Amino acid sequence: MAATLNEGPADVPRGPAGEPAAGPAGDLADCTVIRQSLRRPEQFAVLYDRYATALHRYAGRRVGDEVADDLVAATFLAAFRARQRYDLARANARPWLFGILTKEIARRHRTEKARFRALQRARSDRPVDGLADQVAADVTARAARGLLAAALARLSPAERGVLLLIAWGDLSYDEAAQALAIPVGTVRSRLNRARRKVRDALGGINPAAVTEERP
Amino acid sequence: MNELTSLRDLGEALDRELRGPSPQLRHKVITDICGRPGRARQRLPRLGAGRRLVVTAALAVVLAGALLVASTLRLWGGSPAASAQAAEILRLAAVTAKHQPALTAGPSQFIYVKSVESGAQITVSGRITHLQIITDLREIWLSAAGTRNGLLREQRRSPASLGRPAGPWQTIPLPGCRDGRLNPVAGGGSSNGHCTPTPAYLAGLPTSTQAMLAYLYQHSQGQNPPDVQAFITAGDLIRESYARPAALAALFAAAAQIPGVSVAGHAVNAAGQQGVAVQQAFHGTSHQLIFNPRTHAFIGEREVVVSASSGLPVGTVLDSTAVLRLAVVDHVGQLP
Repeated sequence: MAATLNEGPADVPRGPAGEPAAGPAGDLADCTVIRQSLRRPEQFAVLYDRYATALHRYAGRRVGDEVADDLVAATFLAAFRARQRYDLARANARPWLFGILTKEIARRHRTEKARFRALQRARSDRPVDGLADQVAADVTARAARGLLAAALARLSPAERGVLLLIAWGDLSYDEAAQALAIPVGTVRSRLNRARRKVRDALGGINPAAVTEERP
Repeated sequence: MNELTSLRDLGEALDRELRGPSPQLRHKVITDICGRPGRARQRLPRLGAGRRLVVTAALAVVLAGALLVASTLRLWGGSPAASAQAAEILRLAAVTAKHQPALTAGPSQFIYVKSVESGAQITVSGRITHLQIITDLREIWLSAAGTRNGLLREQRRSPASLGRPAGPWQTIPLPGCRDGRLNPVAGGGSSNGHCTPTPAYLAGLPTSTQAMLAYLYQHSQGQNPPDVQAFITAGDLIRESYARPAALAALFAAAAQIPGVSVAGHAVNAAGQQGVAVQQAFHGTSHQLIFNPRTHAFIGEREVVVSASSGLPVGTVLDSTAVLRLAVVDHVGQLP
């Protein structure tokens, strides 16, 4: 009955790492998978397989592995419950899922701040071992890392959200705007403010210049 | 190098200290979502009910050019005549159901259902939008008492020829619930969530029309208006589960009394079988129960666009199913 509609191979949405999503659902746009999941909850596993790694990496960077497990699980559950409200005109669910994850992370802002402060301290606390040039590189990297972590801890949650969605979540400005449900102009202004603060925190030290001094 | 590059470097450095998702995470997420397979399906609100289907102009053009053969929708509507015709179809369905030989299933047995599921899929490639029909052959083993692990097997099929596989078999273990805990399933970790068993053998359903009607309203769990939800619940109850003849007959008789239920004329199920259907429309789509035109046995469901306000052409079949086989078996994976 449906032969007239089977018009050849559909495009293959790529996972975050560029690999095609696995399984028979591999050729379906996210919006289609979400629509299917209304009747067939198990289809939501397809979204998990497409995005869990990227979401977990993002959450892990911000709050660490252990909490990331909880946040990713909470994100998929919240997404599942909200799937009826998903705008089916949006083929790609990545911004939507990152938006939900951002809200989950916001609830753990204390954990995140503590993590960034710990990263900030780690530069001096951890012994450095190895070849001299490697040691120098490590020290440099840790110096930059400590300053960055300190700067991230000082950003407002809204600024941090925009900055990290773009720097770590690889979202475009438009996608970040979708994820956070804010106008793209607000994304730009928050991003500029956040970048300036981070730049100031790095002080006069240009990490690139420091690394160039490697022997 | 600017601060964004430095941040990306920091991110990559942090990645080296992270182990990524724990091995149990996928299982946990999926059991959170589907851990109670029957109930999870039943809880689903009706497709199209709470959402606005936003479709681009480009899609509308594609759809208009490549539409399913639209079935008869002329009799669509809630006129007294249409309701009376629906009531007659459901009365005959109830008579048929009542005279089916009863199946019995012990608590350790399984309800096996073989069906075809078909859906209109929208895929987007850049600015080009395709509509295509995706069809799966589906076999499910559900614990009669809800306490043993079940299994779902699915295989993509060519919509033109259901006998032709168009993909590998996919299997999804469905954990049963025993002593308030989900059973472990192959390839998964443990889940901490509390559960209650979801029997696939529906032993306790009412057998009188009025009691069943009350049941349909009381046990509706979606977010739709009560009359809409009651009809959805009727469909949910008979999907991949077994109700005894008297209860099934009561269910069809009760469905005839739900406001807004009318005749849909003839309809085709997901296996291409012609049938007669009763329907209820809501938010631009019509949910239809399809019956064999001669025997009035239930042969499937479908969801059809009946109002262009949904953004899709009238007559588009969004989803359809066909029930091919229902039986009681002793083991998961066993064919009747």
